[in-house]
Amino acid sequence: MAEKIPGVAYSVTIRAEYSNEPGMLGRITSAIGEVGGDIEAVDLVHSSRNLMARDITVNAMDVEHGQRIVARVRKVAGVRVASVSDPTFLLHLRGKLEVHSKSPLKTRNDLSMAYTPGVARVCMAIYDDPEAVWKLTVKGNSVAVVTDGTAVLGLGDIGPMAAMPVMEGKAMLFKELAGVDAWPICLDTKDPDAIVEAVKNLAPVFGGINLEDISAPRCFYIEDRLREEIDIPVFHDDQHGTAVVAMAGLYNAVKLVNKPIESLKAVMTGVGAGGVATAKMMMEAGVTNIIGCDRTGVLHRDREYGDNQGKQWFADNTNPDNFKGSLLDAMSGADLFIGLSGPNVITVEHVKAMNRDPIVFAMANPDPEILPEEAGPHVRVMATGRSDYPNQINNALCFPGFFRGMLDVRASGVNSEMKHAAAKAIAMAVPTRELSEEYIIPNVFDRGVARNVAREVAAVAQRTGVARKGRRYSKASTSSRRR
Amino acid sequence: MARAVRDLQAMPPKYPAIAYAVTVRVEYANTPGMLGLLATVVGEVGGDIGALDIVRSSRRAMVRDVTVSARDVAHGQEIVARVREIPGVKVITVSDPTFLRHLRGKIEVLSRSPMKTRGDLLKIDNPGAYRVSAAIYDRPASVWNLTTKGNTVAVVTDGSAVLGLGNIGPSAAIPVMEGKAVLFKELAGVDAWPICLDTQELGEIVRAVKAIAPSFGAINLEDISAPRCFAVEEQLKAELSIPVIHDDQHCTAITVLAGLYNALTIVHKNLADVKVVVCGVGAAGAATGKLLFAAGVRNIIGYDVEGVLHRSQKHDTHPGKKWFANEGNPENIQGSLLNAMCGADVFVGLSGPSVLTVKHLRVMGPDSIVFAMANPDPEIFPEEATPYVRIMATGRSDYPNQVNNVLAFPGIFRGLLDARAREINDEMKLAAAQAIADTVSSDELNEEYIMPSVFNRRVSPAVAQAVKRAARQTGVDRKIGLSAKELAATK
Repeated sequence: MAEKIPGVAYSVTIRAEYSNEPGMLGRITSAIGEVGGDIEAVDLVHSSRNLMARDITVNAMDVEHGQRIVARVRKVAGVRVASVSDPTFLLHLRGKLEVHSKSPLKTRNDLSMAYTPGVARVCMAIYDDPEAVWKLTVKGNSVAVVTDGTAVLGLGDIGPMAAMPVMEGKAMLFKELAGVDAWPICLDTKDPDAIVEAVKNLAPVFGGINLEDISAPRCFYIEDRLREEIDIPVFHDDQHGTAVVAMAGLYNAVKLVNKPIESLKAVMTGVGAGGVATAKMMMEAGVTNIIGCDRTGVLHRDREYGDNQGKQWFADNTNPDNFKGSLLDAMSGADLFIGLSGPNVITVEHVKAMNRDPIVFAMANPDPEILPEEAGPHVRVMATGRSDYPNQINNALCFPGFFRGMLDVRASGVNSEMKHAAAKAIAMAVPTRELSEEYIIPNVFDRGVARNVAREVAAVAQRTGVARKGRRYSKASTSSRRR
Repeated sequence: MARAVRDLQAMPPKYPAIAYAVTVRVEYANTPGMLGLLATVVGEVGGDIGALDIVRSSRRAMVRDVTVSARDVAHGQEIVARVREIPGVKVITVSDPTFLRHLRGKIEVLSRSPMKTRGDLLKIDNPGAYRVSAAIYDRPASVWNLTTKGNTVAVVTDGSAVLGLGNIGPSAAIPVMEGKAVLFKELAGVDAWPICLDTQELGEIVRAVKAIAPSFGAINLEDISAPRCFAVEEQLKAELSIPVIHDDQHCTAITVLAGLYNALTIVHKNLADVKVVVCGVGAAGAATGKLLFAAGVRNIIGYDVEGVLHRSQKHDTHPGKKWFANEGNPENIQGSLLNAMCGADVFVGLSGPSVLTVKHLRVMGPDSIVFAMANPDPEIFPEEATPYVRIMATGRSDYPNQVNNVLAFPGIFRGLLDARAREINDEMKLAAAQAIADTVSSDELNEEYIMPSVFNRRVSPAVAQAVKRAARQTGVDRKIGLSAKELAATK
């Protein structure tokens, strides 16, 4: 997972002690610069007439690079490295989330309203009108971030406990960007039916289920069954979040190259969960000519795919002319390349074979299918999954606002109209006059994005009949009990 | 779903309480005497005025929010009706402070560190979080140090036995579980999340809790009906390597024992010598009997509606009854509650209202101790019992000596998490009870003060400390040092 540019995620904090004389700090910083370290902060810890201690935080390219930087500082004459710490680990110590009481609990009166005996009346109000659970409990604002830890980005099947930091990070984004209370649920089972049963049984306290990092093809089965069996929306972010944000980028990219979306020839590598969902969305938006490729070439109807549902889906539903050949053959004359596969899958040769004004979304993480430095001269619009290049396709642009919108109208499900509305809202966040080859995707920290996505998703949910709010349902249809 | 067993209207508290308060927004001509008139009318119908907030005031009109505590819902309505009748007073709105407090839930999830910049994002998301995930994959014990697991409890219910309301289901149980989460945080800094299960099938409950266990450091089972609660707890304890406690059983037992420690100090009796009658052998009764036995009480007699539990009966389907029949009642007494009460030193009631009469108290031994904990109406009211008993405790906050689980669970779970405990054992429960008891110092101890206040901030840290120590002594703690990386990060 090497990054080419020093990043804060691989930073080290070096506590350096040295005699308090002119030139020492300069010697240290020069040494760090020599080995390519990027100094982020220099804090004074202790200073006396003779001795100086400073915490120097240095961004590194990767873990190994961090170690090289430390080794180099140790070699500077007159400098003692007292300790080395890792800001990323410091941030994760004892976890990143906490549960907070929304109002104080200081007196007996507080206790008798928040807990017994007052709480009993609130319970009975929900018992008498099950719909009231949305109003009187945390359900109306909470989402379960559910994983079994089988497909954690870049790490694979690492299990539920090791997946925790990623799910906690997701919960932080939910809160920070959309005010949603998300709680990580990391499941100690990989059996799809057991996962379905557990999530179904957990549903009463949540207003939505965000499935995360569950491997294909199990993720399709789990999501389908849950959508049938529970009355709150179930959204597998790796599929739909990716598809929505890629689609948003595509809406803006075609504006720049001035091609109708229906006319595009698209080639995709990486035909897993995210790839299938993205292709489906593109087809719904009007793209007709999509060709999926795997390591051996184009996916077509005359090949055998065993039990690989993703490849089979591509063979059955895309490639209308049943084109056969290599990835390079497919790329010839293509307007759009979408990569959700792995590093260095395409080369300059592939890009050169494309139609005029080629659009390349190379979203493999952390290393894209082709680096922007290489592809740049030959493409018109380029996007990646990384934050250190322009046009980052980041799911965080979608899921916070998407769930916010669903919670706001107490949605009972997700449909493709909602996803397209979200994609358009994200695309619209880039003002037309600012739209350029290097700015087709809004910034993750643009607070307006989640707000707009939420509003559009809520409106479409209401229009398509999956919104509960504003309409009075009979008790039977809103009860969270199994039917 | 079964109907709720008890109608709220049937259990009014005796005094006006904030839990039944109404806030009446009234408008009246701004002339002297109006407020006095209003207050008089509210007083006449027995309402207790708590707050009189001005909303708007002009030369001519005055608008106020008047918050009035009532005895129950009907009483609140009666108060509002009377206020409406006052000439010149217009009721604009009526609201309910308890419901206002519950709007949109009582808990929220917060980030422990800011998430404002791209640097923050890179540390908490890709690629920072992935490095941390990889570190946990390489050293699984690190999950206790690097995630919320180490400070998090799941409050799990199936909604089958909620408070005195009965089987109201998982959704209607959420407010109680949120309330517990609030108490966990406020009293012990524990992050608790409500898990209300949409199943009442034993196997499914066990499977669901097992499945979610990786993200939690301990499991608090709550309001699950007997006898299923015994099997749920037993199976989870066998299969999980984090502590599982059914609060209704064990925290009740621990709090009762704490009160008993102090009560016996006052009457100068020893645990080993006293005769204890436990009335109500459901989940809490059975756990209390067992814990008193573990603490050294030898003569414990269980009683339920069918009579005294004794060895000539078969109770194979109900583990609680079976325990009392076989392990308790050494003299093999049979028959009525009155038989059991003859010469008893301690009565522990976990049953229903008015089970006990003065007749029962008269046959007890000298310096008798009565814990009448049925909620909300005790087995016998203190007004009646006081002349015949030396020490009296109830489950209510409006009498002295409230036996309340809130004294136990926050500190116990704090201690379990701090010890990274694998399980909870009797030694830890006994230590917790002693710690609660010791919070009342010997010079403060008297008949009306054997239990510390729920808001005594010393209780939970003391309990946590005692539980942690006992965990270490009995070897159920985990010694998880920081890895080199984690250690460096703390510097």
